[in-house]
Amino acid sequence: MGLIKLILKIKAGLILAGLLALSCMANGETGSKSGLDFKAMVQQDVRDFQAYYKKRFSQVEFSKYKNGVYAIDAASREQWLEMEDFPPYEFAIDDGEALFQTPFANGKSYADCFANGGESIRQNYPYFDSKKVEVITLELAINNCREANGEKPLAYKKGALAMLSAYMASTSAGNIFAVSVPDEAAYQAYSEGKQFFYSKRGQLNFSCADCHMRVAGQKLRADISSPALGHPTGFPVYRAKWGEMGTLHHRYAGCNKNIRAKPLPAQGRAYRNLEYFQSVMSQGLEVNGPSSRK
Amino acid sequence: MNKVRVLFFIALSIPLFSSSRLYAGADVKPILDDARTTLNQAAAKDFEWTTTRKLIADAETALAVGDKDKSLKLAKAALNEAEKSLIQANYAEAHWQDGIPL
Repeated sequence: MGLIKLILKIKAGLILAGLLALSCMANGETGSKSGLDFKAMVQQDVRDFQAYYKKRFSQVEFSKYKNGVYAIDAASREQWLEMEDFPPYEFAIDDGEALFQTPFANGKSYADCFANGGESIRQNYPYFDSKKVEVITLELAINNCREANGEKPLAYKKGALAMLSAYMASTSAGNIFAVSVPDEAAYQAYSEGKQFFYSKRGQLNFSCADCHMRVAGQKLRADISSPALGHPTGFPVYRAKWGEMGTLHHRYAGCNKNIRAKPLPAQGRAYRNLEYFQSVMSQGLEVNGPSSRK
Repeated sequence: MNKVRVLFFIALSIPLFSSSRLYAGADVKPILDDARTTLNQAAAKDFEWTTTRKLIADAETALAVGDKDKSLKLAKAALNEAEKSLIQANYAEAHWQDGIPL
């Protein structure tokens, strides 16, 4: 009789432990309840994500992932290095600096809006603003600065905003990406970005992970797909296909179009959260924007 | 017995995944209305496809010029796409973790 009671107690204990484990797994993915170690969960994601590429491309040094597809494909890299002899984004840096130095109508300038006068700060973007409860990208911060000083916001995909972003990135070259997920609300935004990254969408039913994890290094039509690790580090970029500078969200929209998913608004919540997730995954890499891409 | 049950449920679920709801007649407008509603549901979840609104617009154009056969065909194609994009959105909501290749 005593033995039966003992067995029943053990069974009840196992069931309870199972339920608790399931509850933790569910909450861990959504970050919807407090009491979880968000930072540890994010760091585990980062380790898993970066380990995936280390296994896929064992010959590629971690630091090289800042160069996109040129990190993993030698032929593309040779062409790119030749193009870098006369970087097509140099004019954008100069134009961006001129825009950055031009005071607003109220006499203030971009430097007044940012820490360290806007210099050497690219590695801290995007960040999660706990007061506004949203992800703030560098491009959004630039427009927030303009609006706070009575200026009209700039278009988000290209043009003056891309130039300003290019100049600010250039002052941060070599700094290590340090995007963190400080609290539960930030974890929610991070999780939304993560969900976007792994969700299949569009008529072609592809996710970001399909092209930039599973198929990275292989040809998609005429192009070799780049690894997602390091995607944000080199932006904004001068893209030969565009014939001009463009922002990361410009590229996101192009990716979505390629798989026949309707692009979402640049600097909308979805793309900002996606950039947040990608930037966290790329932590430890250097800022090397602006750069050039095919 | 189990096989019979499985076949029964498969047979029951076929209409859920068929290209569109059954429209007995050849009336285009309700199909277009249904396509728009379903598309808007997918769009609200950020899962709209780039091709569906054009199908709806082309169906409307064909209807306006009196080409009912073409309009019906395009409207059904639009509804089909809208339904698939909504199924994709709902599936992604529930199963996006399955896409993590780690």
